[in-house]
Amino acid sequence: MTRRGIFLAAGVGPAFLLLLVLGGCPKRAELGGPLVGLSAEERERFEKGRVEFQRLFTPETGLGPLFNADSCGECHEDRVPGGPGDEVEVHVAAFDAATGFCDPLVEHGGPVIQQQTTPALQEALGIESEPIPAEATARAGRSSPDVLGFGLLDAVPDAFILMRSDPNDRDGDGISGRPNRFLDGRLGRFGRKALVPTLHEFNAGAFTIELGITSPEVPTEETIGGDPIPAGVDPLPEPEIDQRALDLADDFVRFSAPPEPRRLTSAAKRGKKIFARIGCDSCHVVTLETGDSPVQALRYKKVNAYSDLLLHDMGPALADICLGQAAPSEFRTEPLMGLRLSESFLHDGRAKSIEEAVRLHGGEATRTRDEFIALSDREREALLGFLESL
Amino acid sequence: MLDRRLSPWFAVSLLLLPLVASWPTTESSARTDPDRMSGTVERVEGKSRLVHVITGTGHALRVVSYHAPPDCRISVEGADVGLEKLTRGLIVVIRVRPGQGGREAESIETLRAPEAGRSR
Repeated sequence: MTRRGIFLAAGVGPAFLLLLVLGGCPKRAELGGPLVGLSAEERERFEKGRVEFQRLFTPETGLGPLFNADSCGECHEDRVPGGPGDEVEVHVAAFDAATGFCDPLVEHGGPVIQQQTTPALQEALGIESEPIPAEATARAGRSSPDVLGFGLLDAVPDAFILMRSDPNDRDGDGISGRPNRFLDGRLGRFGRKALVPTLHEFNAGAFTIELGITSPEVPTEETIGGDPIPAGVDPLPEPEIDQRALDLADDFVRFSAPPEPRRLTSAAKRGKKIFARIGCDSCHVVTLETGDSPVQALRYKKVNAYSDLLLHDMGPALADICLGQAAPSEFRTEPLMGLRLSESFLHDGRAKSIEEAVRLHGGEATRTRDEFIALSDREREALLGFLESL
Repeated sequence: MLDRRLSPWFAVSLLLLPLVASWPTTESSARTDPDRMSGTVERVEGKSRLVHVITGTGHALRVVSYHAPPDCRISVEGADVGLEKLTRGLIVVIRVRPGQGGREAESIETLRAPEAGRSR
């Protein structure tokens, strides 16, 4: 090699490596941060939306008179705004097993039973929470999940979800996911029973049911067990927030990045293979794909959600309320992205560890659960290590 | 010189403008037509011809009630029927019109849930 050649090799080699390191690796989103690839305007809406998400309401600014929290960030708070929380709220419904009709008990204050009241309502009615309707056939606890990356779940086309639906288990694998439907027939995907079709509707509804804050999209307050709010208890005129505030809070959730999984150890890599081998991924489908979207960062993306967004029978031990077309024992496959952020697990937070949550799976998941239990200690640890990395 | 460099981009932008403007927003599915609503029948009061329907936004569910006068066309799976055939749990689309006591149902037809859903 000539001197010039040696000089070039010595100079170009490291420069090439530097380029690979700087430009070759995909940019990672920070926990609680915005999606990679948002426009400047979208990032600005994300930042402003975070302020709305964290905005603290008081009775003077519209809170209540029934509420579960005084800000979105009160429940979705661990590690970062939008993370999980330890609050468990109460939902009710009445299920008619003979007809299959699910009554969300709207005229009795359902399906969400608020756990707090403003001082004015306490004074007027002497209650510290909304009463549980006598008509309820079941009540359910609902823990507060993280909402990071939910914009990507919203952008998954209906057809992608329906493609995996197998209500009659025609393929004979023992897994028979089916979609839930909102009350108007649209496909649902948000909420533990997958009732709500879109992220925007979920967020708009949450302002009212969780905070008692009305908006142009939900301009009426919740009733108190079906009865109207006593005069003078909630004097602020409706709506209590404007469309801009609602849209910004929605954009914060929509534009938030899904939590990046931790780098896998060699044991966790084995755990990932076991996850597939024993059939966890039959319902916790690893990768979903988004469709067209006006937001480039959401358009035609792959998201490792670990969910099929369908309902599955989880067995009688976990059954609680019905909702929409979901029977009491049916739950939407919980997305596992961000699982490492949680300290309690399952829809009502009853499991205090991932292992306990897996052991509590029943119904369609029984066979996979039994395979999990039958794993060697080493294999089980590897699988749990993988799940703890998500 | 500057004009000549910008003009192709300007032309492309003009061509793309209607396309960008016509993109659906992610919120479009939440907006409703004031003369049309859909929801699940909660109950029907035959005597007063009141139909109570569950609808809402997210988990903030509401019951809305409409009077269905005798000339209101009611159809279940495409067949014209009487009010008594509207049973709870059916998903319906109600066309609404101004009536004597406020807004009333002009027509009520059932929606077959499995075929419904958002197209995107």
